[in-house]
Amino acid sequence: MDTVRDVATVFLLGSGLSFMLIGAWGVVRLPDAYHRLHASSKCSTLGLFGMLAGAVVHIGTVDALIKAALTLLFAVVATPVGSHILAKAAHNTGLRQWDQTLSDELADDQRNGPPEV
Amino acid sequence: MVGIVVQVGVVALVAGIGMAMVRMVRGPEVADRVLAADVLSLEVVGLVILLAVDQQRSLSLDAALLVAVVGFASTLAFAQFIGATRSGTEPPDDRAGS
Repeated sequence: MDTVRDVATVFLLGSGLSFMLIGAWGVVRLPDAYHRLHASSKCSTLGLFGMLAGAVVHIGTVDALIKAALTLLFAVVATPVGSHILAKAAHNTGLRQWDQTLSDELADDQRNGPPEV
Repeated sequence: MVGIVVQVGVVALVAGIGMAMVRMVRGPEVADRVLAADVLSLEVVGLVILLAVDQQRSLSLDAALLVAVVGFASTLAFAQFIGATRSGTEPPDDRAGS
């Protein structure tokens, strides 16, 4: 039973850690701020999920589960909000997109009014 | 087995902190630096979770939640700072009601 638990812990912690490492790598490598927000927000949510699940499996108490669930709930709510508000602030200041990005739909909507559905 | 993963994980998270600091130094705009600070706070949350795994106690998970909350608040504050300090244009529409 302890072996199964260790394997589950190692798998969950490893997946979470690799997501966080890939996210940090994407923050260095991707060409502009919007791409970097994409990398950081998605990878840190998934990475935090994996690491918290690994910690809960390894510790194995109810209060660890409650604290991890609270942290994960906060991260799932806060990360999209923070990324969205940061991207909107950057767009408001006229931050340039990468020159190979094909569309800027927010700028189109601000120029032409809201789209007709 | 878990101890090896914790050691490798500390190395990986410190490498992630190094990458975030590279972006914070190099980042051409303020938004890049704020985003790097956000990533850095999340890596610190990961380090605190690894501390909880290493100690086999849930006490450190409180600190993880605290670091996550402080990181989110700083991101919000810096985003307001970026959006509020643009020059030569009108204030954004979505704050007209507040």
